[in-house]
Amino acid sequence: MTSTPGWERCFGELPRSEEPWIAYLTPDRGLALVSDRARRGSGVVEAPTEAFLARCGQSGDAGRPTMEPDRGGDPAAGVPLRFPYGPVTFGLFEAGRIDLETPGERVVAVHPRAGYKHRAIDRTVVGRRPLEALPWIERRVGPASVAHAMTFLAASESALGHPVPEQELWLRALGAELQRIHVHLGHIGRSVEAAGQPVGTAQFAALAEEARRAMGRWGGHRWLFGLLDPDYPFRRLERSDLRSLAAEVASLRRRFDRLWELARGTRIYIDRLQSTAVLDRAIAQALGAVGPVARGSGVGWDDRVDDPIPPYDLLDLHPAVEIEGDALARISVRAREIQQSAELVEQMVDRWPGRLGQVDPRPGVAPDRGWARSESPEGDLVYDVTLREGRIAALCLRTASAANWPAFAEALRGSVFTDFHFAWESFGLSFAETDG
Amino acid sequence: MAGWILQAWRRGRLTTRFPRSAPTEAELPPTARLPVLSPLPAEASRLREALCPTGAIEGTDIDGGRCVRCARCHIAGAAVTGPWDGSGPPPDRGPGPDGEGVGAQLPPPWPAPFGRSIHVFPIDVGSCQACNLEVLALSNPYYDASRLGIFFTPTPRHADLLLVMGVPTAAMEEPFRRTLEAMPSPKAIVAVGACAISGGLFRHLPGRWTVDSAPVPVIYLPGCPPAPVQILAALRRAVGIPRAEGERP
Repeated sequence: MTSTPGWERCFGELPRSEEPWIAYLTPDRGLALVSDRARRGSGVVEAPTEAFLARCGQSGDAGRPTMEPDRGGDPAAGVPLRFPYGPVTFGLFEAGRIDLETPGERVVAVHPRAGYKHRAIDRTVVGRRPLEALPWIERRVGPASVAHAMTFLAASESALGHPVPEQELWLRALGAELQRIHVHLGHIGRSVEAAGQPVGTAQFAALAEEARRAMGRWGGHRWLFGLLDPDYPFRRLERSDLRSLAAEVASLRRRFDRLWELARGTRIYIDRLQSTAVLDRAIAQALGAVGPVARGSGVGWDDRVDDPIPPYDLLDLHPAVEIEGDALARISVRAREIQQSAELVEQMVDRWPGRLGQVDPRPGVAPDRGWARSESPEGDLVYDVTLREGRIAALCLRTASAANWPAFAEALRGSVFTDFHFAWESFGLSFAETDG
Repeated sequence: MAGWILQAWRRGRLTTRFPRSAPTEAELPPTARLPVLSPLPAEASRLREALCPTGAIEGTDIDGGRCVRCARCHIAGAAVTGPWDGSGPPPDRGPGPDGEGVGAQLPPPWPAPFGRSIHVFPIDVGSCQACNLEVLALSNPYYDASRLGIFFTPTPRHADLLLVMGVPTAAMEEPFRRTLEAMPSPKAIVAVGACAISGGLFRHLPGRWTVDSAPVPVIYLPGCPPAPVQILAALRRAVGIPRAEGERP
């Protein structure tokens, strides 16, 4: 096992001649793949900042809580109380722990501790064929299962070098956009709940349920598990099925627009989000934040536009960017992305390709070794897959959640306790995705 | 404020008719049901067993506690006509970490004397978040569990039922034990989903423990994840409310 602090983890055995390749985000948000030795030796590629490494700690072995950034409290504020939130809470609704240091009300330091739900997915899939490994990859994080599965498959295809049926690629993107709508609806709804708006909470929760039902009707499964397997029996790719899905998404979007308009006009709600957990653009960049978090701070990178995999290169999309960097900015980005995803679904259904088209995958970085990146609901997701005789020999990945923890810790510092849930929902971090 | 109320009023009643009538197709997508396997020639049957990622299939038998509804067996002869509410023989929870078997699932007296109102505390011990969100969906207007006397409580000290979601990982064993200890008696556990019942896809995870290692009755709720109506049905079964007419189609 090779492990590098925070950025990604590599499991499995690499061919002897080959050293681990590591995906880095360069300062201009591009992605570079370098070998570990090259990174240490030449400095050709920007290494993660010291601050990042200090905060993320070492990713660890199975079952051991990891990622304990060590940052002292502010000495001027007296000896802070260390308040462990988790791993069993109703509020996070996930097994993970966030230690908050506070002298009373204001949070002076934030220590996220992940690792409670490590399921060794990366190691379990080693030795399996890519399609056979899908059930595990999907269950890394259920709400974004398609994003993980499609990035993983794209990386595997890049390693294999075979052309891919065009329709498969479109199907993946369609599933990913449906899940993006659902994930963002959840975050917005729960931030409304945290602001004590029961009617709005119920209405957004109903909308999220309708999104799940739409996925269940179309894909046979409310979380679209299994959809990307070409042999999956519940796929519905007839023109009429796609049309009715698009109609359902369009009506979902209309209902969302009305609710979002009401939420934006609710003073109590907006007051709780505005200037809460502010993340400056420069800090967001230095800490390598991705996805709606980065876009809420004015960093306009979106893989679907800036480094698209097919079919995104054929679709019309402008990244949603806000510059304020507060919880409102991040939630607004999510709201805009729900509308954009609904538009993308419409575009895709209108231009659905025939059965015969084939598309070449991204060239691999070495024989039998490929990589791919795509915009998961929480941001840039990178998979790097090495195959040997068609079976997975090693798997490296960098998830959006893993990238955004340091930014979360930084933004929450200085907030008060009651801001926590607004920061939490706007950042959209997932312990399941981090732990794997 | 008036806008919100007007909006809610305009949408009207969304709540499911369940349990008064059976769940609808919209509430139960095909993968919510356990597959029913058709008999196959020996060789094809072995192929079908090999296709199953959790090893849940043996001949035409399928273990509901392990099945993750990946639908691979459908390629080799299966149909989605199984029971939807997880009824049937108690699932095999797979080999425990020490290879040992499992205890009785419902020691008497059962049903536990909870009356008709229960408080539920969900605990995640290593899930992918899908089960968590399906449990949380019980409070949305479509399911509205509180109309059936089912309430979420933010602390285990007020809880009658512990909803366990996810693969029991080593790191969560101690927090789980302490949560269970904090609950007043009588208490029971509902193992939500294949991961909590048998480990599902992760049954070989080092350090995995089983939820029935505690001396507390366990109700098994198969699925990956179970649909919210299935969770409702299991909660009603847990408190001993008899099945309503038409609850089982």
